Parts: sequence; C-alpha cells; structure tokens
Amino acid sequence: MSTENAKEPSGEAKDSLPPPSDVASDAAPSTSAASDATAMEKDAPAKKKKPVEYAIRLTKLTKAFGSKVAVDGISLRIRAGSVYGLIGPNGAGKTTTFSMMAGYLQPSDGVLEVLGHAPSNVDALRGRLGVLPQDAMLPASEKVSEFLLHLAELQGIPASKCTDAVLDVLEEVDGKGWWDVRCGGLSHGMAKRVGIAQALLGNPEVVFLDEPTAGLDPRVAYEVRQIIRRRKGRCTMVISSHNLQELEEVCDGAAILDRGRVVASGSINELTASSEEIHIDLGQGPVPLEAVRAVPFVTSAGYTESGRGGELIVTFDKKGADAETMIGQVLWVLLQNQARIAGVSKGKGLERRVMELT
Amino acid sequence: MNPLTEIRLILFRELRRQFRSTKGLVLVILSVLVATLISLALAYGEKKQREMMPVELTPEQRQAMLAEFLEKTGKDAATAKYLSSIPQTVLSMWKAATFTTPWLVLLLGYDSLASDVQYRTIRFWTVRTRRSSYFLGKWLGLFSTVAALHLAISSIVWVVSAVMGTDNIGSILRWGVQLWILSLPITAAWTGLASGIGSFFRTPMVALLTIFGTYIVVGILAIIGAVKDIEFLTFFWPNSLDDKFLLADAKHVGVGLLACALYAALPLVTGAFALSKRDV
Repeated sequence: MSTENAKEPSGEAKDSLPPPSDVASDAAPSTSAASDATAMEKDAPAKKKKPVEYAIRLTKLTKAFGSKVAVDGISLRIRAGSVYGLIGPNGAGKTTTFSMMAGYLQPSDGVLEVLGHAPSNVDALRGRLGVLPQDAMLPASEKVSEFLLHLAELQGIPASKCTDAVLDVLEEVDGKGWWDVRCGGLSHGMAKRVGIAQALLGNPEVVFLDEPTAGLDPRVAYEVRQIIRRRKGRCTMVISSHNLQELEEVCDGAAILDRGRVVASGSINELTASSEEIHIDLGQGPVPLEAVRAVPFVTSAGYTESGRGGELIVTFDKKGADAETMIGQVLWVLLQNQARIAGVSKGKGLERRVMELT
Repeated sequence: MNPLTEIRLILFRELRRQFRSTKGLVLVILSVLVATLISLALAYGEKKQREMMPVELTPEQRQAMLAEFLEKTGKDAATAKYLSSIPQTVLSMWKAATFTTPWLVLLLGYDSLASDVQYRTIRFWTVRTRRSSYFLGKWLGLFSTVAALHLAISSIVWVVSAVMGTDNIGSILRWGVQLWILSLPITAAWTGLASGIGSFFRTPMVALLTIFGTYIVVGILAIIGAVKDIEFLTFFWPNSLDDKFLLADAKHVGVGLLACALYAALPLVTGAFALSKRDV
C-alpha cells in the first residue's frame, strides 16, 4: 500500500476503515510535529533534496471562516510517490484542505507540511511543488509562452533551459501549437491544459490538481487522465475531484471528507473493500445462495433483485484467500448451478462507498 | 532565489502587462496628446509674452526680472533666483504632470492586485514567489509605469520648447531631467499609497473607490494644513511636497524626500505584510 491514513480524528470517522497498524502509533502529532516543522524551516536549504517518506502531512488541520468551520481537525499522511484523492460532496472541505496544502489559505490551527516544509516556505518548495488551482484565470493578455516562461524563471529553472522546459510541458499537454496564442484566446479545455502544464513545469516532486477534469468534454477529460497516468510514479500527486470513477482509476489512495472531517481514508482497495468483497451481476435464473455461502472463506452472501436480474454480494475473509481466487471459486459454483452471470467486479466501487459515508 | 531576483522578474512582467493593456495604451495615448497640446500652448504663450515686451531682453535679463517678481510674491532671494533659472514652460509642464500623478496612479493601479486576487490569478504566483516580492514587484511596476509616463509627458515639452526656441536646449534638458528626477519621490509616495490600500481588497471596484476616498481624506487634511498653516498636515497630499523640492536648500529637499519615503514605505510595508498573511 502506498498511501496510508494517519488517524481518524473525529467521532464521525468511527465509521471509517480501520487505519493500518503501522501508522496508528505515530498518528497523533501536534506539538512535536510543530516544532519539527519549525526546525526544518531553519535549515531548509540543507534539507531541500532530502528524500521524505511522506510527502504531505496534515495534523489536526483546521480552517474556520468566522464561526463556520470548513475543515475540522483533519489528519492525513500521504506517502511520497503516490497518487492520492480528496473526495467528498460539495462543502465537504476538499478545496479548503487543498488550498491550505497549496498555501493559498492559512490554517486556523494544526500543522501542515509539504516535503517537510510549511507551504508558505516558498523558497524551500520552489520548483518542488506544482499546483493546478481550481477556477484560477490565466492572465488573458499574455501569450502562453510568455506566461509559462515567466513562471519557469520564477521557479528557478536556469534561463537557458526555460524554453525547453516549457516546450516539454506543452508537449505533454498536447499544446505545442499554443506557443503564440494569448491565454485569453484559449478555450476552457485548452486553458485547463495550460494550467496543468504550469503545474508540471520543471518536474516538481509534488503536484496538486484541483478538479483537473471539471467542465471538460469527455475527450479532453480522458486526455487529462492520460497525462496524470503518465506522471504516476514520477511524483506525488494529490487530486481533488468529484469524479469518483476517475479517482478510482488513477489514485492509489484517498480520503473521503464530509462536513470538514475525514470519514474514511486509506488505499483505494481498502476504501472499496475490493480485497474482501466481490459483486456479481446475475441475469434472470437460479441464484444458488446456499452453495455460494458454502464456499470456503465466504463470510456472507446476499442477493438483491433489480429489474431483470440482480446483484450478488459476497464477502470473504481476506486472510484466507485473495479476491481473484474467490472470484474463481464463486463463479465455478454459480456456473455449476446454472446461474447466468452478467458481470463481475471487485469491491463496492468508490461511488457506493462515498454514498454510504456522506 | 533571492527576493530581489523575484522582484525583478515580477517588475518586468508587470511593465509588459501595463504597457500592453488597453487601459495602459489609452492612458499613454491620451497623456501624450494632452501633453502635446499643453506644451504647444505654453510655448506659444511664452513666445507671445516675449514678443509683447517693448524691448527684446537677454535670457539673463528675463531671469532677473522673474527673480524680482518671485521675490515680490514672498520667495526668499536664493529661491527666487533658483526658480527663475528654470525654463518656465518646462516648470509649468512639470507642475501639470505632477498634478496628474495621483490620478494616473489611481487609474493604472487600482486593480493591480485586487483583480489578481479576485480572479485567483495570483495563485499561479504564490507557489513560486514570496508574496512580499510579488507585492513589491507589482508596486515597482506601477511606479515605473507612472514614472515613464511622466517622462514621456516631460520629454514632449522639452522637444516643443527646443523647437520653438523658448530656451536653450542645454538648459531645457538639464532642468527637464532634474525636475523629472524630483518627481520620482512624489510618484513613489502616490503609488505606495495606492498599492498599499489596493492590497486589502479582492474587488477592483471597491479598491478604486477606497483609494479615491483616501485621496479625498488626505486632500482635506492637506487643505486644513494649508489654511491653518500646519505644515505637517500639508504633507498628507504628496504633491504639496513639490515646493520643498523647488527650494534652493538641501535641507528642505531632504525633508521632502524623507516625507515621500515615509509616505511610500508605510503603506508598502503594511500592504506586503497583509498580503503575506491573508488568504488568496
């Protein structure tokens, strides 16, 4: 598992998946973490390139706007190199959390570290952090090249390499032909891709993408997902999105937020229970429930009818067998009993999980 | 990367943006047109005045006459002599350009930061540069733009005066450049004030109205200062410091510079601090 949760901080989080045992002990943080962060700021240059196990650490992070608490004591740790999703309904606190991680908003309380530094420590994070902000307008009067070259210079890329760096990211987002196009003349999809290009400029170690496919047509959204896939493994990515299918496809782990709190977090497999639950769509015909329940390691089997057929949900002891083995055994029993199989999937799907929790 | 490099990069981008924007171009064209008309009128008036004299005076005689006149208006002998040596068309145009400075600053600078915050464009920068550098780069951009406009306006009167022969070219250039340099502290004060106030708002129109409101307040304070003879209060309107710069006394010029520096520094420090702490 590449991504882990630090803790379940609130009462609401009791419904969430149990945190992995290896992180439970150091989940609670606070003053020592704060002083560590302060110490890191002092000798930032020396530690600049020091590899970190966790690219991002949030400890009891809170943000209040007046009397309204938007983010309420969130704690998370995101392992370096992973792709992590922030999931939740509108008003859950994802964008506020994201904005604090990117340094746009100041936390009201708690400790936040990106690569061991506070997000406000621009000098330590220069060139190491790339961010696609949601709904930030590109400067309309500037050409795409001018805009990106200026940002490249600001993030410390040597002047002689700026043009190449900009061309590289423009090629990555399929926008090489936009060099002389003014930002104000770009379509929504093109502007989003220029936004992604600036986030990827200079190959940063950590990339935050806020709603990277929002408002895009399916083709452009697919291309953006391809960009994310290509970057996978080369950097730590945090993606905030409403598109759960997209997150399930690209993320290693995720946190589900609701009303400012983490209600569940962990790897995608854990969140979707894909290592302990299988779903089988059946057509009209026999449903051999007892035979399925008799399969070794099956802990429960239930059938829900819907229209012309139904869904069979089988849970099993993941310590006894993995999901692939269980799929084979259950399907064998179903076929022997003349059941008509229409589809098979592991786990309950992120969408269903989110609907259960929020 | 040190803050100075950041400020330099932001400054160059800001200059490019200002002179490329429709607003910037319109202001440049209007300023140049108006300055040309005023320059022509001033030079023509000066020439006519000389023609109306019963006898043709030498430049030295004209200067002596003007000094005598200025002494009668209350200036001390040294200042009267100093002021009389400045080509009058150049001085008048400098006064006019200085008068327009706060309004140019208002029009060019009210949305400099507020619109970046409103449309969240600033977010592309805050992960790459210190916010204080961003703020100071923006201020320097505004300052440089207004100073360049001032120079453009001034240079028009230099050309017109030289072509119409109201004064000799050496004197026009020497005084023209000197006066333009003296306008810089005043420009710094106005741009500092506008940038500092603008940094607190995320809606350009609110920033515009607040800066304008502040102008009215400092203007009233300066008027009270002038009426009640309280010099300190007159400093609230930085243009009133131009008198300090036109005195033949280093001490007065020093006081003017100090007042402008304080006037610029206070809102700049406050604005940079506020931007570094606020949510964007």
